[in-house]
Amino acid sequence: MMFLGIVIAGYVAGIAASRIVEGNNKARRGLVDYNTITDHIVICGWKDHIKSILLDIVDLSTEFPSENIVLISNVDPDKVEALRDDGRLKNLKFVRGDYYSDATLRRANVGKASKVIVLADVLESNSSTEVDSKTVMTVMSIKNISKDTYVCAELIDQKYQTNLKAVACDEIFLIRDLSRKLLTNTSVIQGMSHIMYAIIDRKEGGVRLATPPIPMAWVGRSYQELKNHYWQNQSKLVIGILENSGSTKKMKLDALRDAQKTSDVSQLVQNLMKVKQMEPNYPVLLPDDNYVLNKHSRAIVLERI
Amino acid sequence: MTEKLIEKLKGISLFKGLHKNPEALAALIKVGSVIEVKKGQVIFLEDDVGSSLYIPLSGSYDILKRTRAGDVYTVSKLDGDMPVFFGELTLIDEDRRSASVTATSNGECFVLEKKHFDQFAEDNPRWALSIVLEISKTLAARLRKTTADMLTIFDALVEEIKS
Repeated sequence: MMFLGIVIAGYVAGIAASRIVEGNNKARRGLVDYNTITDHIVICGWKDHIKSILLDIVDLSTEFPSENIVLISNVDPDKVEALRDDGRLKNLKFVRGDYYSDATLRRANVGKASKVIVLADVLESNSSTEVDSKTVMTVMSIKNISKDTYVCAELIDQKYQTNLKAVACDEIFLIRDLSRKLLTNTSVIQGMSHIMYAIIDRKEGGVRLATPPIPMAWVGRSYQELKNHYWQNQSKLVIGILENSGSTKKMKLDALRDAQKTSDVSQLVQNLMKVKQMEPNYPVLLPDDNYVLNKHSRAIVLERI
Repeated sequence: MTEKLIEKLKGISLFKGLHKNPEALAALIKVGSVIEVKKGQVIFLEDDVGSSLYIPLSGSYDILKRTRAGDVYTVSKLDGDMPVFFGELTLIDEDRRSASVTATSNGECFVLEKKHFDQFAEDNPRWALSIVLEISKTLAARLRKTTADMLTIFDALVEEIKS
């Protein structure tokens, strides 16, 4: 009997171990579905310096340790495994597949993600047209799955910017354009590149840009009051307001409701046009002191780290 | 009180044809009544079937409407000192109120019920005619505005389709 018990226990342990190994193997090869994960960040695409990007995300944010990051790419799983060699990325999740495919995006549960970043992936092609087209397709697919998911997309060529805006992409990085503008600004403004770097590097003891939400109690008050409040109470410098931040769908619904609050039809039509032309995450830098704070806006703040 | 009311009615555009006829205004006052309103009191609600004209004598009032989404907004704020009135169309036709009116302070209103106005009209047709004429002018102006609003919406729709 005892011998039988040992054999059965050994058999069960063997099966359990084999299941765990198989599970880990599948995860390593990017074959696991993560459709119960929520509030995570999804990175679509691959870049040569993806490791630095992922480490920066882990280091800068408390919400996204590696277990809350899902990488979608067709890249060789061994390359992803090499990323996990760094302890900070050891729990990185990987979904292997075409990141612009609906089915693959669903495997990473993009509908419940906190943020999705679509990289200008040059793994399969160097042509900016092909790369940017895939980016537009990916954003379209994500917004089809969930309009509320916050999507940031990297574009090489700005000619696709209107396509991304048409599908309500929340943030767009124009990498070629950004680089060019930084260079040209540097040529006319001394130290510009160092200044920009100091702001975005987020080194301890330095400064950083932040965009804290403006509470409802402040809506209707003036920019000057907000500036004074931040400076006097928190020693933070407000340099502008980020309008139309947050979920585009919710914002537009709210704006539509507010637009109807008039009996003047001409005013109503104007209000509706304004809602239609609403640009998400629109920065208003150094507005007049009497600029009125709106709903769904954030303060653009320079603060010490 | 009647003298004060007559002076008040002289300032109301609805009774423009009777401004030089204190006898007519006195007869009108006789068929109406003055009511007290309390702060927060709802005078009437949007979509209520109405049958009285109100002329604020004192106090302040909010005119409110609902959007299609059901949100309430303030169309205007009125004061008893202003030569204003509301609900005048109910003297011709008992129909649904197009807005809600709420008193935002204590005050008084002169109220004229349709049935009493009808009696006044039977007894004094020429006087009533001048009031109905003013109401008709209001209606005509609103119709012209509605036409202009329809064109505004039409133009906006055409632009939208074009783009």
